[in-house]
This record gives sequence, structure tokens and C-alpha cells, in this order.
Amino acid sequence: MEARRLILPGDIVGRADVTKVLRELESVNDFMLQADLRHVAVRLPAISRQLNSLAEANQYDLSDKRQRLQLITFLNKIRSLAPQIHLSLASEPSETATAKIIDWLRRELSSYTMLEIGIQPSMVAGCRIRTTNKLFDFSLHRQLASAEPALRQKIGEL
Amino acid sequence: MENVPIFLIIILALALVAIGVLLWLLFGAQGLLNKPKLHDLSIADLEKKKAEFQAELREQGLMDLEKAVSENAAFIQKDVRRTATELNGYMHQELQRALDEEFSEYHRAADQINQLVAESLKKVRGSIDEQHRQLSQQMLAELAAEKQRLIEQFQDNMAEVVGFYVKAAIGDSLTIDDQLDYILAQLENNKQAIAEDLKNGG
Repeated sequence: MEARRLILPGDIVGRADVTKVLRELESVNDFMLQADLRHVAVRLPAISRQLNSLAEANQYDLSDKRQRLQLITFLNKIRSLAPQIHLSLASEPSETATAKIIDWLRRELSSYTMLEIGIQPSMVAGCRIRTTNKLFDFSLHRQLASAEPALRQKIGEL
Repeated sequence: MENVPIFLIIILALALVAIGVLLWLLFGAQGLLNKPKLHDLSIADLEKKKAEFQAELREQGLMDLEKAVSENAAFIQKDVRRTATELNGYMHQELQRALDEEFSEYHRAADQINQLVAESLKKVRGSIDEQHRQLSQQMLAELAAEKQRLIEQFQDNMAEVVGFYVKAAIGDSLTIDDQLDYILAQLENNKQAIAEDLKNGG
């Protein structure tokens, strides 16, 4: 990474968010470069909440060409190199819940952990985490399946 | 009168008859002897006598015929009546006998038909009972198989069934926010394994 360790804000959750912010930042950069080439003084265009968070978290000024390029490089590395976790849930999580999960992942595992969230209603409750090589199933469905012999025994007793 | 023997009455009657015959011979035969001789009569008289005699004969014949006819008519009528009565009885008897035979035959045929129908009904009832028994056995077997299949299907998918039931029971009341502590706890419990896999995979 860079000499200065950049911060990835919590509202940039997965690679899709990174790609979207990267495209936006490149667009902003192109706009600013063109204005610079024409020697026209322009204001920074309106940017998304995620890009603004990224800039603020790292105290970067997007009007500065060098800092923009640093962020573009950072986002490109994140997109290609950051570890990714796929989290399956039974229903759509709220932004608060997503923020808490991503905060834990980036605090406990890696600062640049990418999180992809999928919805699987059959899980009923709990979660299922898939990393590069492993699957951690903490769903209620798996727990019910593991408790199936006890359930069969109980039904047999009836 | 009642004390007089009947043979005296008969003798008295015969005596009266004999006296009558003698009187007739004395006076009646005298007249016949006094009749003129045929060869003394003329042709016309002969013709006349002939006509009278023929008329007398004809009248006598008619009277005899009528008498005979009337006497025979009574007999014939009596015979006819008796014959009719006998014929009627005979016909009645014959008809009764024929009817009895026909009824007997009819009853015999009816009995045979009843017997055949009873046997046929018995066979049909037996067949129906057998089919009913087989159908019952088949249905019981299919019911048991279906029950076993449902049980096995339930056992094979018990987790999904219970999960579906739990999901239907709690609905949307169990949000991710409610589960967040559990999810974070599970992540914490498996942090080491997840971190190692991320490190090796990265």
C-alpha cells in the first residue's frame, strides 16, 4: 500500500462500491484535468456520499490532482488485492447492521476487507460466511439439520 | 186302500182290460166286417179311398213322427244336457289338469330361475367381496406406503420443514439487527480460522 495507510470508510462495503467510487473519481479527475488543460478555473463537481466519505476519512482534497491520483491508485489496489468475504443472510440487513459487520471485519481481520452480502431466505436466521477456501455456516438451517437426530428421536417418542 | 195288496189291484186292472177287449171284439169288429169289399167299389171310390187312406197314413205318420220327435227331443235334450254337463266337467277337469301342469312347470322353472339367480348373486357377491378385500388391501398398502413416503420425506427434509415453520411463525419479526449479536459472536468465535483462510487465500 501507500506510505501513508489510507482508510477505507464503512459505507464502501464491497468491490461493487469500490468500482463505483473508482469510476466516479476517475470521472472527476478527467473533468478536472480537462479544465486544467483549458486553464479554466472550475469548482469540484458534486460527488457521491461514498466518495466524499473516502476523501474526508483520509483528509484528502479532491481538487488536488496528486491526491486524486493517490486515491485512484489506492482504489485500484483495493479492488484487485483486498481480501473478500461473502456473507449470506436470511433477509436484507439495515445500513446500521451492515456498518457494524464491516466495522468488525476491518477491525479484527483486515482493514481493507471487502464484503459481499447475499440474501438466502432458506437460512431462516443466522449467517453463512464464505471466504476464499472455506464456508462457515452459522445459519439456523444448519443448526436444525445438526439437531435433526434429536428431533427424530423426539418424534419417535411421540 | 193301503191294506189292499198290490197284486189284487193288478188282477183287477187286467180283468177290466180283458172285458174291454171282449167288448171291442163284439162291437168294433162287427163294423169292420160290415165294410164293403174292394172289388165292389168303383174306380172313383177306390181313388177316393186311396186318397183318404193316404191322408190317414200321412196324418198317422206325422203324429207318430211328432210323437217320436217329441219323445226323442226330450231324450236328446236330456242327453245334450248331460253331455254338456259331462263335457263341461271334463273340460273343467282337463283345463284344471293342464293349468296344474302348466303351473307346476312354471313353478319348477321359477324355482330353477330363482336358484340360478341366487347362485349368480352369490357368485357376484363373492366376486364383489373379493374385489373389496383386494381393494382394501391395496388401499391399505398404498396408504402405508404413502405414509412411509411422507415420513421419510419429512425426515429427509426435517430441517427445511422446521425452518420453514419457524420462518412462517416468526415472519419478518426477526431482523438482521436482532441477529447481529449472534452473527458477531459467531464471527468472533471463528475469527482465527477466517483470518487464516483470508491470509492463505490472499
